[in-house]
Amino acid sequence: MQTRLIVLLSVILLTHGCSTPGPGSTERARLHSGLLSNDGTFIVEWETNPDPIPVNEFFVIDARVLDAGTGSPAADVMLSVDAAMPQHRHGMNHTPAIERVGPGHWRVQDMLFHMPGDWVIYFDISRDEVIRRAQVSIEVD
Amino acid sequence: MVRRSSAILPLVITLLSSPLPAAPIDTPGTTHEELDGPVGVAWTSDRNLVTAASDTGDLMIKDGAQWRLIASGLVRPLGIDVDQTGSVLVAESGRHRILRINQEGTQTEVFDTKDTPMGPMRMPMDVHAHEDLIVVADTGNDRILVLDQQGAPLRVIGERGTGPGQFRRPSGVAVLADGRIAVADTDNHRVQVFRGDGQLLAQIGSRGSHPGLMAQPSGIDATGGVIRVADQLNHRIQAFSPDGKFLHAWGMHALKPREGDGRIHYPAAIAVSEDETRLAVAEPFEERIQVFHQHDPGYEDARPSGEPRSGVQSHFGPVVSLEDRILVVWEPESQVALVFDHQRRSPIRLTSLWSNGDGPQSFGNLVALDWDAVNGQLHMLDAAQGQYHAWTISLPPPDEPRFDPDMGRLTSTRPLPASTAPSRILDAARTPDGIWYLLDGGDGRVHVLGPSMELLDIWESLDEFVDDPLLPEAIVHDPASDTLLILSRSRVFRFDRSGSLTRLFELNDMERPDSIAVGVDGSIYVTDTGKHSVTRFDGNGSRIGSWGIRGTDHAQFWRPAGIVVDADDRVFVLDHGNHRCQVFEPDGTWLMTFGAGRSYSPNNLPQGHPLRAGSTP
Repeated sequence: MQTRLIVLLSVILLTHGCSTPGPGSTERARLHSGLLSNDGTFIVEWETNPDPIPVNEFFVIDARVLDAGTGSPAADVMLSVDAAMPQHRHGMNHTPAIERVGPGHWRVQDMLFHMPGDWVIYFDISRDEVIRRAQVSIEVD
Repeated sequence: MVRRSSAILPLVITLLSSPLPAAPIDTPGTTHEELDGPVGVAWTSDRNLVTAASDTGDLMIKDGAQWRLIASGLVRPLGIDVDQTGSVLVAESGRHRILRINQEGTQTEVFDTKDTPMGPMRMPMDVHAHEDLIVVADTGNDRILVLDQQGAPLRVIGERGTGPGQFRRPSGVAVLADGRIAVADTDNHRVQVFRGDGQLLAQIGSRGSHPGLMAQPSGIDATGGVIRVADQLNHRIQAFSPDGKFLHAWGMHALKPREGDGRIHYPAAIAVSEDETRLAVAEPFEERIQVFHQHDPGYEDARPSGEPRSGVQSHFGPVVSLEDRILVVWEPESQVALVFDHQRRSPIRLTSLWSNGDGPQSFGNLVALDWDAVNGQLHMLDAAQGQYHAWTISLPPPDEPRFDPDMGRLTSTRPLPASTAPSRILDAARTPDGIWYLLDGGDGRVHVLGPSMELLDIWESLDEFVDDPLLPEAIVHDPASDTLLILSRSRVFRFDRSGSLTRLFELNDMERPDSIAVGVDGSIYVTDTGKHSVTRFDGNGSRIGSWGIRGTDHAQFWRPAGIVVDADDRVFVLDHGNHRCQVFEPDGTWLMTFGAGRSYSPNNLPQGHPLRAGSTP
């Protein structure tokens, strides 16, 4: 009996309690389109899973980087994603993992907003050693 | 019983055979004040202090009760060491060489490596003698040089970078008794320990303020097998074992100049006596050397007996920019750029641009800021990271000021061109058309960069124009004449935008000029950190007047640094040692003192203060 309970708990933890929501999650994400980089060079389309972003739970960002001039995927860039609470002057206390899943397409796992409040997500896009930033402010509660 | 004894005995033997942890040498003893920017400090074998005064170029030894001059006329002497013969090795940074001077003042040897495969040293900041070796922190070249006692090159350790065994502005070096070399890797905020042959053994610390972390470590000492570091921006001393184990830290940030009782203010160098009973801390900012004794548990920290801690307590550093209603100040300790609306009775902080993470918003050592009011952009030059940052700041209307931490947005980050040596960039000026002029302190050249950091030109070295050594300090654009002014020792060079020298004039009666600004009428303002004053000259270098004395009251300075002038000809002086900004009329009349959270003007000074409005001078 005890063994079966442990197995059951393990299955629950594996399916719901892991650091990252699984790709098969049925929670519907909302696509945020038209986030222009601060200098206007790139557009970032992004969505989170789950959506809205929960407090103190891992979430995933799916991000596509487009050239603002052509609207086509920016296949020759690198992306890094970070987040911070400017009013508190601190960032996340967990390092996310980012993976390129296609031309100009990235999946960021293990994002964690450990406390409620005003967060800013930074998308730093590198091309030819120049880093450009797109950012979005989010209130998490 | 027998079984228990057999278990404990090896442990006891191990403990007895292990070296005891070094006790802190942290109890305040003697303080030597009125030294002119002491950066170097060392002990002789008979426990006399030796120091190099970087402001005046004097090398001195404490013989009994008096300081005795050993040598003078050195150009920016920094780190020093005493060799086995009792001679003093000096890193003469301003001449890019190492000197050996005996205690009678005779210069016996000069090492500069410029005609060797190593190439010339650039701005060496420290030197250490060990048996038959001389080890040099070749700071401007981001490397460590190992020479023999005749100065012949043996090997180079490291290169610029952030990886294991690489350096960014290494400014302190020490050698352990067994030949291991410990390096204060300043802009990487760590200590690295090498075998004598250059193999990396340990990396200690990273950026931070918790015990074991560091912020721009500078001086270093390894006497007795303990690595002690002057943790400059944390205002403390830390001790580690050579394999990186944190032992202890001590010191407390002096919030105002001349706080004693162990409070430390920007420690630049440390030296432990051979008998390990004394530790000397050189604080050029405080113009003093504090000597500490072995830990005395009975010592009572007598708090400063003078005035209570009050007033403006920010961490304003030496870098500032101003245009229109915006003033931006860099705080090195907190790694924040503060943006103020200064055109108010009391300046209001509108936003803070703070260092965050390891990405492009990770600031290092900002050497120049430029606020472009027309385009609402802030430009930053970061010598530690070797990067340029552009920010867009969406200002609120002047009549609706408010603080918004999200007001500034980073738009782009670019690397400096490979032709520049970031550790040697001391200052930079940006013209309204987006052209940058970077001042290389290592060779006196100016690197001209386009808006995208592309290299456009390199001007010939300033030393083409003068015979004696240069100490380029600052560069500023004079918009009225569209020329560049370069401050070097007590000289000002005026160049046109193509790099042709149009004027060269001497500024008389200066001790250590630091920064330069141009007023609305073309007047030139220069801060003098040695004299704690500001001097105003006309556009040809004729002295008009000066103001300021050393002190902590309003209209007094403690090593003033950055200076800017607004469109109303008000002069803003970064009073670095007092961590504040003061505002003056062009004639030196005091108008205001402010920091991040408080401001003072003649109207809100206490009753009886001589600068209070209505007081009789």
